Amino acid sequence: MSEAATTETVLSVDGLGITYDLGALKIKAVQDLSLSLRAGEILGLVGESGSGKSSLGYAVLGHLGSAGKVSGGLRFRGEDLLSLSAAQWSRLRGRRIGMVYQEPQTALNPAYSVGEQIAEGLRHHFGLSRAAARERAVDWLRQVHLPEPERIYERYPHQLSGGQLQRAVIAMAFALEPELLIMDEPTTGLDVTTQAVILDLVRDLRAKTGVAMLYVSHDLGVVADICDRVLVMYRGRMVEEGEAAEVLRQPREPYTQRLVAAIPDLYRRHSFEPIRPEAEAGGAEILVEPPSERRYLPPAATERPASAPILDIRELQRVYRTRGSATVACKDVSFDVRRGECVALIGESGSGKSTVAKCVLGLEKPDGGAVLFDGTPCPKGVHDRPLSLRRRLQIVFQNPDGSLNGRRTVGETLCRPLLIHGRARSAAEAGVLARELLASVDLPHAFFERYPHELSGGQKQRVAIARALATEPDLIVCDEAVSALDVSVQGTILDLCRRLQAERGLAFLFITHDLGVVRQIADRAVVMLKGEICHAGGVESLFEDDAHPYVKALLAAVPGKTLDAPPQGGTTAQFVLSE
Amino acid sequence: MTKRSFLLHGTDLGLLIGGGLIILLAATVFLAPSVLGIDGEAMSIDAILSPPTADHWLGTDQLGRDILARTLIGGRSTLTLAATATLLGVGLGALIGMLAGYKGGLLDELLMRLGDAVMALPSLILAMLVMVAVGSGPAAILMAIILIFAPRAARITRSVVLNVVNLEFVSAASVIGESQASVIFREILPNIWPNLLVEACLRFSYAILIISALGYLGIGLQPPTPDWGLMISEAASYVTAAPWMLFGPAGAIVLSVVSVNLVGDFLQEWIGLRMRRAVSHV
Repeated sequence: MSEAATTETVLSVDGLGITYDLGALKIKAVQDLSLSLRAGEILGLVGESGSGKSSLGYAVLGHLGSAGKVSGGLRFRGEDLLSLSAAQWSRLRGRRIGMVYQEPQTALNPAYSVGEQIAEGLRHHFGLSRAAARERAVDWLRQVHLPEPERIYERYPHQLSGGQLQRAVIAMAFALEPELLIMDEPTTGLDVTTQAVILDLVRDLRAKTGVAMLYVSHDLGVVADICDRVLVMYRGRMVEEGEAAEVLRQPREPYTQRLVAAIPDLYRRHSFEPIRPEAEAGGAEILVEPPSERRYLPPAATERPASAPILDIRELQRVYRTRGSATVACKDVSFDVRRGECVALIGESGSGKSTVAKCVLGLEKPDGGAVLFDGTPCPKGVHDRPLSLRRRLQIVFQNPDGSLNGRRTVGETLCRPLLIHGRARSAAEAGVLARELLASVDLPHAFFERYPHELSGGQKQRVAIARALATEPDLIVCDEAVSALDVSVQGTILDLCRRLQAERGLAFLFITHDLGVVRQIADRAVVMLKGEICHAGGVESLFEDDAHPYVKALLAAVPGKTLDAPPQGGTTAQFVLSE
Repeated sequence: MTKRSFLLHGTDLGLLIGGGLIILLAATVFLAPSVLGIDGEAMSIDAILSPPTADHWLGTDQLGRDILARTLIGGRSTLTLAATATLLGVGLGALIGMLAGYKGGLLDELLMRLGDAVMALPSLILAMLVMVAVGSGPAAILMAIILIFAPRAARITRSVVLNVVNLEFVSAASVIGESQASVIFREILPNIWPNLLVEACLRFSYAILIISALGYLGIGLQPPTPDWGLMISEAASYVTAAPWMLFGPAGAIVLSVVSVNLVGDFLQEWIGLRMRRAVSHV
């Protein structure tokens, strides 16, 4: 990759500090950061939420806002970015320094067609005529491999899929032939298969145009796949920098080692270690302890436990009807979950996996088929179900911010189910039990009095799990429960779920799109494609040669396979990656 | 968070003036007459249609009654009636709106179309219809205003509920076993009450206007009850001879409406701020 890189320095950052001045509160987002980026090079900026990686991206674009104070040196092609006037910025930004952000929907104006927005930039910066701008915009839409670029040109943002939109945004950025491109989590929120296509495209365009890129991401796998060099950040400081393959395969610094160790291995089950042992939100310093040797766990039981299924889904069907049109969300979905078993339900957005979860919980009413819990058919709606049934079936949602009522303390949230189901007869008794619940998800008792906004994402997710445990359920549905979390936090939550499964015989229906997570937690896997099940079997079966083509495509799209090769002759079944 | 934001950003002059005026107005209207032993119906023969003097600060009317005294006493019925009607009207509307927004489907459609039908009538015409059907008097006014306010409050509540109802904590509450009533009152209501408060504030000032309008038209409270609308209607006949008769009741209406609106505006801004913070938090 590095042969494309020349020695010309495009961006140099020298002892950069960024402080957000919010009146009484001063937040040091970036401290003493230095880096340089050459033409044609892709530098990955890696870190967890709050590490300051995005702030750096904003600073390079002059987008920090009035509260952001910058110190140190920031030069683009030798020009001091910190002393530019607004007029100078407007000639630079978008034109010579481009940007691609997460959520392409917000990057485009919904009132103009996609093509017009690309052409607009061309006319403004290059002074092209309408016709010439249109022609070149269409050409760029073709270069990002959008089908029928002339027709896409006329489409409005809402008429394109997420992946198509991001390609359009990338076309818009490249059309102005920038020398430097800031990419801030450009594939986060996209499906894995779409992500793989976008990453290919970015590599391709880099080779063609020789642009330098600052690629901001929390996903080490993605960074390993696309970047030449990588810079790891933690709490605003640089932890480690070097060749991407080297840093991520043999990290020198303990923090990076722990970060790498927290990536769920696609091939083998292993233990997780907390990266920041206690308080994620506290002022913990960078760990100096390297992680202990990764412990590999025996592979998941491929043999089904002999017990009767606790959850039996039969020919489930759900059709969304709006005036005039009908969308089949899921069709003929049948599978079961046995006591103490963890079944992964895998699929991309629109596959119908969340619909299945909602039908199981009674949050949506299926149009056909049945959900049997412990042998008895469940009424369709959650409020039609007897309390005794509702107690045994719980859910943990994806978004930890939305799943807790912001107006109630953690304690109030946890006491409710205890009182409703008669596990506690008085508020005092419920309080005692709720504190035990907090302890069971490794949260301190003091959290009882806290409000959700005082908690970090991982902590909120633990509270959500504690709430689900409060009713002593037999089955917990986890709907993308770890997808929104940092990789380190994700690991500890997965660990917690495994422990609960082992200790309490809890069954899980684990809905996810991440095959690494599936490997870590699931005994069996069910894969959904466009509302139907396309593959079902033990986790090992996903990796077999005769798996469904879609399963193979999913597997091929998993980023970061350069990091860990499948173990030779180990405990897992052998397979060949279809790349 | 919420308490602090009140202080940090709440150095709003509007709130200070509006809130102060409301308190001042309520205190004078409810306390002064009994403390000072004011009688709104006492007539003095020697001071008929007297301009403002030291004895009668706002002058007297055609029967020699003190305008200030009548304005104060009249404020009692108007403000009490307006507050009660607003509470009941917005409260009922909130209930309907929460039910419609939470349940959705046919019930939602039914309730909202019913509301549309009521809202299709201009509010004053609707009020007059009620008064004709039920007769005049405070109870009729109350009913009329509730009927005017409930559909609007229901529609606003429903739209806010729709933003909340699909949040995951509402689903989670159902899953852990909360009844539908608990979901509505324990999960949804605490997240929407600030919006209801703003609605109530704006409606309260409107209620004052409706009551006064009905009084002015002669179908609200009946003479000799001192009522702001009624007083203005009486004053209208003497507007050239004794214009001061207007100032008391008209000033009271303007003052109460403006001060309540100032508080309402502040609350609206405060909620907007809170929502933005909730979104941008962490």
